[in-house]
Amino acid sequence: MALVDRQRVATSSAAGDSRRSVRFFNGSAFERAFAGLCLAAALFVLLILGGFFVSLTIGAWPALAKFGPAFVWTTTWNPVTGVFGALPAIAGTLITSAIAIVIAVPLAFAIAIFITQLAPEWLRQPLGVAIELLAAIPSIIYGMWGLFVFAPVFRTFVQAPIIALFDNVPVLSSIFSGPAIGIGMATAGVVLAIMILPFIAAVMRDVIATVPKRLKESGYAIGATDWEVARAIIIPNCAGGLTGAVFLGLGRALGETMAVTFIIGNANRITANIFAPSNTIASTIANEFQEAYTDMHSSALIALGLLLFVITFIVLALARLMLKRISS
Amino acid sequence: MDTALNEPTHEAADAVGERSRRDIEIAIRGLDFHYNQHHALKDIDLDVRRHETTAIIGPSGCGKSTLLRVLNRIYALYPGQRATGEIRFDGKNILDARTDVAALRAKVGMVFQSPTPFPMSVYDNIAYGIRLYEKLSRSEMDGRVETALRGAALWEEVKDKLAQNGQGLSGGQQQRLCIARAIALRPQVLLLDEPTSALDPISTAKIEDLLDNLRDEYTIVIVTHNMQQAARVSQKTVFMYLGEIVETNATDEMFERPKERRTRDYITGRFG
Repeated sequence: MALVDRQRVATSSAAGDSRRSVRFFNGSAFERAFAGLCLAAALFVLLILGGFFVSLTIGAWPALAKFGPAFVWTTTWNPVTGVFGALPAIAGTLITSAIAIVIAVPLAFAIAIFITQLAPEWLRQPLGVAIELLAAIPSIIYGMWGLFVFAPVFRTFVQAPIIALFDNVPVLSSIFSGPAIGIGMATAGVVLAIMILPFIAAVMRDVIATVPKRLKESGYAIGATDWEVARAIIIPNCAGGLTGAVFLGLGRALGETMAVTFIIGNANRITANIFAPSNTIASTIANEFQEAYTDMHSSALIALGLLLFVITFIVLALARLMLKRISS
Repeated sequence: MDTALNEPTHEAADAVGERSRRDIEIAIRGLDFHYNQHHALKDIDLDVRRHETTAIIGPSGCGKSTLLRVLNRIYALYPGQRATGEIRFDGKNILDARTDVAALRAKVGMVFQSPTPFPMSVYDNIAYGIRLYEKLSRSEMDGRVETALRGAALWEEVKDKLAQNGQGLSGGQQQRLCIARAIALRPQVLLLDEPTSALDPISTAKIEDLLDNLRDEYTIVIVTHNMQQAARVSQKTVFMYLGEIVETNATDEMFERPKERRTRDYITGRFG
């Protein structure tokens, strides 16, 4: 009995000792160093962000100095003569992203509503995981799939019938005109829509989940239906957050390179015909960087990059701002 | 021999039975409720009388809110929650799978623990529910909104800010807005789930006064943690414990002469 007690005392005092000895650094010097290290890591991110902006600006300077602001609104892009205008790439970027948003947003909203409001409990988790996995597919795979599988199907079953349908309709015939070749802005927009769908849906799901349960119940309690509750209570209650989700998706669509380069058709021109091949900022850079032999050409490409950086930066900043408002 | 003389005739008994049946707004028989595996309500029998306030009291987790949430089938929003038994209202069993829950909820309004005004103007908070069921002209709608707000003793305070967002009102005003929203649909029954637990004493007193007036037109079922409140606002009190009804009695009777020991222990604060 006495032995057991002595042992217990021995272990407990040993435990006390070891606890003291674990604290290797004594006092505030270590704590200060730790805090400093964390601060340095955080500042590093800001440094990289600033560094990107500065180096892009320096690299783009020759082109910006030569063409001035006209770089943004002129349409000629000719590496041979050394004349560069970014408008076709900008237009292609905006049009494909717009198509993607128009398709993806209603779908994403429906998915988010289904997962948060309508799906039976056992289906919610698997659906949520499936959406996250969709987001994990590398963009090159979307590109390949888009070119080899989707484009031929799209050409035969969507483009050709639509072109035929609007053949004699004024305005529409120029927006949807032939020949149906499968690749082009519309194809890129649809594939982009599929790519950004999971991001928008996942964020919308989280945003909708912030609507208080009691508020939704009070909608149902006056006899409103699922749609009426979504329309009158959920959407107004988290409109900012939902818009934030859209901008987050838009930011991704604007900058997406690989998949778009595969299926946009890579033609430097501006056209109202959304079935026509075109270019985006990102696909132009990806296509031409290796062949940019003149300094002016590479400078013009870097200037395109700077443009894209600024556009997506603004869009994502807006998204953050709107999402922040909802969470506070 | 005496008992035989005192016994009413068959016809008289039927008449009494008929009258009391007409007085019963909601008749609950053999109600069981499950949250997944948890048996939350056990074989509940209860008659809720018309134009009377019935208070449900009992310690947290006793099933009183659950019982309330069965009466407008709001529980059915959640998978894994199911009720069995019979709840007779308006000549039908509302637990029947074919029940039109939207129509039921128009007749059985509900007000929640914390105020839940919709993200829209004060006016639209009331008008929105009405529009779900009726197409009214602007002036008819104005009248209905005013009547509802007056009914909830809120009109004088908000008549100049009908266009303001309902979520900008004070907590007590918001809760009365929610009551107005419920009565705007001209329901038969009002369910109140601890309607004053998030309010200050002055707002609470206003709501209790209001409940006294509303009883003339509506059948009220109120869940409350506050026994003084139950005593003040109700004519009948139901004491629940662990998913069962321990005692149902006239409120005065219940608070002065509880029949059950557990009821006495609860209302004298010995547990709960």
